[in-house]
Amino acid sequence: MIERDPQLSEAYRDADHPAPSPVLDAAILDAARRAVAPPRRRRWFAWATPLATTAVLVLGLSMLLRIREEAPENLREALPPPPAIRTESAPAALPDTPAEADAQPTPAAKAIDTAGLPGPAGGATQPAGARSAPGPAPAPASLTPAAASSEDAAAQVVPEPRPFQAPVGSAPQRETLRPAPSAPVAASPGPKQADRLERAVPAADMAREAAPVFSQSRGQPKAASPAAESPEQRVETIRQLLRQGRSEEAKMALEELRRRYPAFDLPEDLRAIRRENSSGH
Amino acid sequence: MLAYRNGDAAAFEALYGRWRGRLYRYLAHQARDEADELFQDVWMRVVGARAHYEVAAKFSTWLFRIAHNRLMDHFRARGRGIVELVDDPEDDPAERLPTQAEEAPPALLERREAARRILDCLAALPAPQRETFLMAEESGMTLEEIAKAAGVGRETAKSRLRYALDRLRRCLDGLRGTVN
Repeated sequence: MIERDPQLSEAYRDADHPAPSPVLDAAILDAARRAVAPPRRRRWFAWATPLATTAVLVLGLSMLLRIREEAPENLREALPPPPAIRTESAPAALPDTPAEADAQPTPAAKAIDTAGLPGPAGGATQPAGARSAPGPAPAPASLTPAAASSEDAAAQVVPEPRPFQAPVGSAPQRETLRPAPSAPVAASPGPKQADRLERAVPAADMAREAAPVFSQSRGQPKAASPAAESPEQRVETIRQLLRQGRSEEAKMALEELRRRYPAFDLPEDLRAIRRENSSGH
Repeated sequence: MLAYRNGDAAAFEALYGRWRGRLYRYLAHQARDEADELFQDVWMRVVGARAHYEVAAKFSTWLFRIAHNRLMDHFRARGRGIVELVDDPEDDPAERLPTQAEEAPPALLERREAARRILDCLAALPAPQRETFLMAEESGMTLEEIAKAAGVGRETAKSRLRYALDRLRRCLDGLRGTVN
């Protein structure tokens, strides 16, 4: 029990005591409020979540685009080297012009194109021979610009063929040999993509050799691109043209064969035709 | 204080309103000139210690403990002897001699009004007794709480308070006798 003196306590309470000034009160209360007030940086933290989300989205999208851009190259590197298959028995026809043939992507190339990049599948132009062929060689995506690159690469090895002149009055045949509509491809590849496609040229050439092209409209065998045909295939094509009585086309195809493969040893029957052709000129 | 620790600023305002006058008087009667500075400093210590506040004692005990420590620091900085602040002069018989105020009550009565007599007597008390008396009057604490706030034993606090009351009585009686 605490000892108290009521008289002293009363006298003390009645005394004139000092008191803190209002300024002092305000200063202390303000400091106390500021001590428990939310710090200013929390206002910045309010932006942290949307900012982080935006950054993640931007990074994710850029990475996705980059992965999609590099996917065909990775796919080509992952696939085994294509086998050297020559479908000598597959009928083929010469295209109207080498440029047209070069610009025509092969089904195998389309297959890789559709596998590597999203887009409409080239099922309508997929030939039965290519489907049944064991392991068609992969080819680069977007063959339209790639063909030019592949031809540029091929031109360093073999002489550049002259433009194929279509014979006069062969419009029906031209219609037959008109390339089937191809899947949409990139219109103009960038330098990086072109470099990748140039590296993939051998695979594309082999794929063209292995995959004959069929006309979509009539189902007839369509000539693969001249650059992709082997000399043996060209010989067969020439013989087929001769059997069909299309001697002019056969002679032109023979000349094309000679220009492309000057060291190729022609069969005897074709040598005779060549001699006749030379003597005729 | 727990509410303020949890971020309720209004809880601090309530605490401040309840204790501001008592604490200020406690400080002002011991360090008159530096009362504002000490007062603000004590409350800032309260604010700063809110995160670690635990209900180990009454808030008044905790508050006056902080004020007592701050006063000790202040007195040390001012060069006042630590013995005067800590030791109880009533333990020494020599300290029981009348103070200067008691020796000249007529002069005090002339200078001060009746309401202020007790304050003069209070100011004449030895510091430990004055502090104990102020704690008892301002905080309403028990002897145990006063002893805890002042950092002394219960018996010491009891002794200081008893001597303080005796001196104040004698002081006021002397003033009354002089006036009469």
